[in-house]
Amino acid sequence: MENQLIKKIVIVGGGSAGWMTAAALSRYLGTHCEISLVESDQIGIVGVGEATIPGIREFNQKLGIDENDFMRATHATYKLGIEFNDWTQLGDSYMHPFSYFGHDMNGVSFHDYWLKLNQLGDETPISAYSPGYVAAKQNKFIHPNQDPKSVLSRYFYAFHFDATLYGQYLRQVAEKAGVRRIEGKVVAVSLNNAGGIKDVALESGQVIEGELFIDCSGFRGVLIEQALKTGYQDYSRWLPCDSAVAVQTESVAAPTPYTQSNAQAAGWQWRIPLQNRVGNGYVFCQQYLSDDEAIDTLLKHVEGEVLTEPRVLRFNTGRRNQFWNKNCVTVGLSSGFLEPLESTSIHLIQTSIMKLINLFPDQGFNQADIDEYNRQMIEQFEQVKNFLILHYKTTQRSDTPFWAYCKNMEIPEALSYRIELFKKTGQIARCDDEIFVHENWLAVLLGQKLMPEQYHPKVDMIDTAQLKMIMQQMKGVVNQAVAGMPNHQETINRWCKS
Amino acid sequence: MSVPIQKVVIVGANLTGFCAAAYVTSQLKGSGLQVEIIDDGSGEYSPIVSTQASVNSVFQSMGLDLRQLMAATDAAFNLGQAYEGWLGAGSWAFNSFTAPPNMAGFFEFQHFWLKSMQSGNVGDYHQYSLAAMAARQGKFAFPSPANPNPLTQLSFGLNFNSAKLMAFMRSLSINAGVKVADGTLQAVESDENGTVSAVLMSTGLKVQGDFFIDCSLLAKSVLDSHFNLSFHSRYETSPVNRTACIVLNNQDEPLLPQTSVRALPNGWLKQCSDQNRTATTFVYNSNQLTDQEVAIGLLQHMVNQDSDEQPPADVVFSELTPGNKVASWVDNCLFIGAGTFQSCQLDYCDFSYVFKALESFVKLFPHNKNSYNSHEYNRWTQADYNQLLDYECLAMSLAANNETEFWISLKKLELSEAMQHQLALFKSHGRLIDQRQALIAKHQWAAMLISRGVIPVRNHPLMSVLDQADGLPELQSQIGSLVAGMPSHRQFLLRFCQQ
Repeated sequence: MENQLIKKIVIVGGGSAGWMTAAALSRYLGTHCEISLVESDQIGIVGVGEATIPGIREFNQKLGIDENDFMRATHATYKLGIEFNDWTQLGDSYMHPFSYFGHDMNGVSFHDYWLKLNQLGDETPISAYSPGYVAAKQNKFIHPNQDPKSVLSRYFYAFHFDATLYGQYLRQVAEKAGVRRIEGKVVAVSLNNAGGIKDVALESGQVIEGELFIDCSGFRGVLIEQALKTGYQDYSRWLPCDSAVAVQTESVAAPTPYTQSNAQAAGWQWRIPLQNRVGNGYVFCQQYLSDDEAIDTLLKHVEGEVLTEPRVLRFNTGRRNQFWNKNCVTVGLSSGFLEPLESTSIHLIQTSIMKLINLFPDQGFNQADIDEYNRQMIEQFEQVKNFLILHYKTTQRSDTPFWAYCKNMEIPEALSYRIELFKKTGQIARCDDEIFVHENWLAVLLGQKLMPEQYHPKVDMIDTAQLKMIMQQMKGVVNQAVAGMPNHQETINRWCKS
Repeated sequence: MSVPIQKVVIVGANLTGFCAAAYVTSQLKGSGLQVEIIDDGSGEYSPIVSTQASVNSVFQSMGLDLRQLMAATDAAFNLGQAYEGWLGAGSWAFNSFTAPPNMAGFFEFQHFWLKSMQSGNVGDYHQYSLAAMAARQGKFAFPSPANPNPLTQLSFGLNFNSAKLMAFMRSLSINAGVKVADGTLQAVESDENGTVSAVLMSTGLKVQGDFFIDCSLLAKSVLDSHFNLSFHSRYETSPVNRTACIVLNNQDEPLLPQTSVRALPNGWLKQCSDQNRTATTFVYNSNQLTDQEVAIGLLQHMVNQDSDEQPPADVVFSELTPGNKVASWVDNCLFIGAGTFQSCQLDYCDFSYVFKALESFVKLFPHNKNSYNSHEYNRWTQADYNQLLDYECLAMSLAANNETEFWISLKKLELSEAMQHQLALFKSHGRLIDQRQALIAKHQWAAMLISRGVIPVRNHPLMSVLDQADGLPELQSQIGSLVAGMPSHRQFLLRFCQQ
């Protein structure tokens, strides 16, 4: 019995989380297991996570999804990074590009060389050496190549897409693979002797039994919280935003190949360009701003005709104490919420799913596997949490009470160590992070104007005049490569126009 | 105002000291950095030292030509570690530096092996490793450029003649301008903040420095005393605390490209060979055996059981204290080598960590006498040391037999929480903890656990629905023919080093 394959999986909730889970599980389990997804047309989906990070491509590939086909279906555009405006000070701007900066030399990171020239008065920003950044700002895009010698291999890309359409697209994939969709609202959950979930009852009276339950029910956490009382870790003392207001607007220009995040008085505003429209939203903190004020600000700062009524969302930033409890795994908003500042919502969904497949249980539900899953997922959330806090904590703004709070708040020790180490030595602390690595931290640390006091002593082993020449060449190579790239819109038209 | 590092003083004119001098000068060539090395009268290393595959990139970064390095140091190739007798007399298993072939991306190799095993049709785990099969037959080859079969890309470490490696590193150092001071170390001088400013030699000479690297092998070096730095023993009572080593010529025997550990009733016997000599080391607990018993046993073992011949070599005894110093970089002083970290000598690649430490040090090269980089360095090395000791503890606790006092005591070793978790995870479905910065690769954990007879009760559930053929029989036969076509390790070395 113990070693038998799970025969019945019940996914509660559709949306991107539900259908991503259904598509992936059916891909790996084939028809050996009955997978049902319960969702109700009456419950809307949140669907904020329209911007992604490059890991999404790996997930799509594992599912056997054709990229151009999926992009057409979801009105997707390419994404080379995220631009942050007014974060450090009003008027400041930097990008977190999905790209390397220059090339490391003699075992020393590129940024140490850049720092030296910067200290000598060279004002070239480090982004000038990033093919991803330079292309993004010129509204250009071409798929990177695989030749490690080419500068065109030194950036990555993700997508902006319509999350609702992505869910529908994956629904087709999943249903084709045999996933059964059941229309209905869950009204009751009953537990088994082991304290896990036995079945869910729908409004219609139908009762659905399962061996493994996946909670994709959104903020409510119908299974993981309402039924299993798993508990929640609150992150709001470090990430105080608790609301968002979103509207869609008509495109007035060709889509940019990057997301924008513009700091506002009590939070920040996103701008996510799709092929046919633009997604906009203001993430804010109620303590400092009313809904009406937020809506006003948002509408003042959008371009193009407003297509939808402003919709207000509330959230509680944090995570579940456990992501896998008994026979229930939580994926998506039911597992926790981290504001979409670094476009991690979809990524956390895909990570949860792939880790579940990696640690997939049999009917015995081994506790060591569950512990390992929870260990890994907690780490994921904590890592993203720290990366997000970095953006707020390192602001120099104190022009509004919100920013003054962020600037002065206490932060987790691991993050303050990281900031301190970078300031004093230019080193990025070694870590086991999966999502954001050296280049990502570097982009935001430098972008937020944290200048290390010193560069690596080995930098001085290259003669300054020669170093200037090498750096000039690197910049030239980037500019030349970008000059040869087609426009973002041209590339969309060629491959994936909706 | 920060003072840039101009002068590094290395304490310990031994193998570690000269490796440090050669490495640091090679990495900072042209920076004007001066290096001086001083003797502190501390002892020497074991006659043969081994490095693991990941150290090759360190040699490369020093600009060393593999052929020259190996020819000058009598070095032999090392494909991994053989475990003999851990699952009863005559048993054999192998832990290779080379990762197993990628099967179906997502699932690790052991899951495919387990799947075949459950259907009852599979050979020993090591039979699917080219490195293991080549090592067992004493064969070695580089991949042929004409036939770049990914299977033949073997990762290898090196087994060095320590004295020759030291001479080699010494001459590299001298050529790079490293000075060797006369006399031995007597005392240190420090400034008002406690930062070391100079060391005083027996000759009355004072050697000043901005930064100090302590490679001393003494239990408490002069710099340890200065900083009041303590050594943290891993065990209250260590299960092994002494080694006995003997070195013999090996020219008449096949030369295996490996290190080996054989389980014996009261300890384990490690063997490691360079091109001409084999060092055999018995690791044991001195509360259970006297030195005399060990010497007799070791010699009998070496000269083929009950011969009355005069022992051909001396037995050298050493103390063993598994553990590490509580910090490895304090103020302007770095601590590396056997005085800083000692394993239980189950794994043979301790010397690798000297190079790993040096690599980290140069990556975090200090900007001044009180560099904040020490925090990061200590964070890295303490985590590494912990993991290595953890790994050994787990390996020892999965004891080779149940009968003797020695193995019974190992079985009782207390595992850290992380190791209990790893063991439970592997036992149930053959899974391994995901560690990104691990010194020990996932496949090495798997090989070690399987070699100790930890066979998962069940397999990854999704393996049962994977309808892809595992390809193991084909793999095994391919490995068979590849090994058959390889030259012997000795032949290969002869040709390689003489070219």
